[in-house]
Amino acid sequence: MPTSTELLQGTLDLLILQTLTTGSMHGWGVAQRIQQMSKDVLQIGQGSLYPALHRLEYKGWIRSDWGNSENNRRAKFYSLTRAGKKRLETELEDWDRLSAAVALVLGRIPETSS
Amino acid sequence: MISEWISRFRFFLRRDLLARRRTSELDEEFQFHVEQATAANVAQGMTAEEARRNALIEFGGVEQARERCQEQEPGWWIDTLLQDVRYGLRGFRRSKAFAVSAVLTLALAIGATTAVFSVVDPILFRALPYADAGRLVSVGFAFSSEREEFLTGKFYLDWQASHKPFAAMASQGDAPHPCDLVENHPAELECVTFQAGLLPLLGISPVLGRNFLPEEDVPHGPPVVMISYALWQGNYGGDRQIIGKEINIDGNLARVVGVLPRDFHFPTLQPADVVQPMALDPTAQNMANGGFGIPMLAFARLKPGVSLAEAQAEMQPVFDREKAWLPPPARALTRLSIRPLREREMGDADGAGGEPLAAGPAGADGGAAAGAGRSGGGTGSG
Repeated sequence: MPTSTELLQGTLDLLILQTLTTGSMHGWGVAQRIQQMSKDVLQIGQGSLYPALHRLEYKGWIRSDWGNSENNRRAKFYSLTRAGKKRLETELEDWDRLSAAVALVLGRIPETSS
Repeated sequence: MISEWISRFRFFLRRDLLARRRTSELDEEFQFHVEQATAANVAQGMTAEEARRNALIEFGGVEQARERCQEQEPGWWIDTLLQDVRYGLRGFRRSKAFAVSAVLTLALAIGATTAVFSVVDPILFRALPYADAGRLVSVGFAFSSEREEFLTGKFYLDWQASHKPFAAMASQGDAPHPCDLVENHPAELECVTFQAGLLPLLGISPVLGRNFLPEEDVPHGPPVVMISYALWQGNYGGDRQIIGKEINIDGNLARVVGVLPRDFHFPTLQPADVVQPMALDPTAQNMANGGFGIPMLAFARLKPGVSLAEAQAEMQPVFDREKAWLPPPARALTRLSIRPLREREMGDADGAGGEPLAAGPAGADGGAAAGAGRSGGGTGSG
């Protein structure tokens, strides 16, 4: 098992919102999806996943509905709300700005004079 | 943003109804998670038992997860608070003696603090209710045993004649003294005397009627009084016809000429109901009390541009001259005192603070007695 990487504060919200753009998903599905997409680098423990899901739901960015899973078990499915989509856009912009700035500071990309 | 608030509000309203259901839903959600993890482990080749054990270990503390989820809810702490309150009330029911003494202690403490504060507040934290109060000073002799300055009649007249640093000076007879209103509705009152000049010195005008005229503030002048707003309202129902009427104080008829404003404070902060003119008699003052005259309280307004220190320096020669009159043992103990009126009132505040704690009307009597004690001390030293 690869060592899990510490997530930046607030990054988990962004990852969850992004993951849910592909459609409604239950908590387990969200965790698996993030793990797959990150090639097993990011493993979201339930201890942070579920509080984050509930927090986003209370903020009105995602909503939950009970439905049936692939194996026909009752499960709670989360999906993006319109407010959540808007939020994702601003968070993505923030992320781009932040990561570019951090990369500049760390000297990982040569400064391009535009 | 708005939708966020609406959803918060919705959750807030439904919270009690849903609290229990939500816990079971959380449990179901976690259970689903563990089942999925178990299935995934089996798919990796573990035995069913091993898979489930690993899934549970991976999941970690269920109770902790549940709490952390519940803490995401806006206002979750209200529940915790209610729990604490309920726990506290149960404790109270178990040990009643403790509960009663705790509540009584709190009630007394809050009551006492409020009472003291309501007295001290206008004295310490508000501007004095006088015109340009910063230039008002309390003046006179002070003794080591008597911090509150006063003058006796002889010296007061001397100061008034040579009051170079002061724009005006006026005197109040010593502390308020008990007197009786002898009428259809008799009442025990507090009477005090002051000079016609005191109200103008403080920048106060009567709310009804007028101040004493100079010709009323002389020995054997016409008997006139001003009454307090409280007496006007309480005894005379706020009747505006009170002006010009005669009231009977201690068996002597006196005509009411004015009513003091509702928020008027005497410079000593001691309440009084009836004010009579001081009618200072120079001849009598130079005879009474072994030639020193009657003790009285003197107040003055500094001339514009004159500082406290300058006033003290100007009055020092006058004081030194007068000190020679005192018996030698008293001389060393006597000093000149010119200090802001506010400072004097703050000094009186520790006395005033005690009054509301004394039972009811006795408070006013206590104040008067303290004042009488003071004037006795002053005379003794002089």
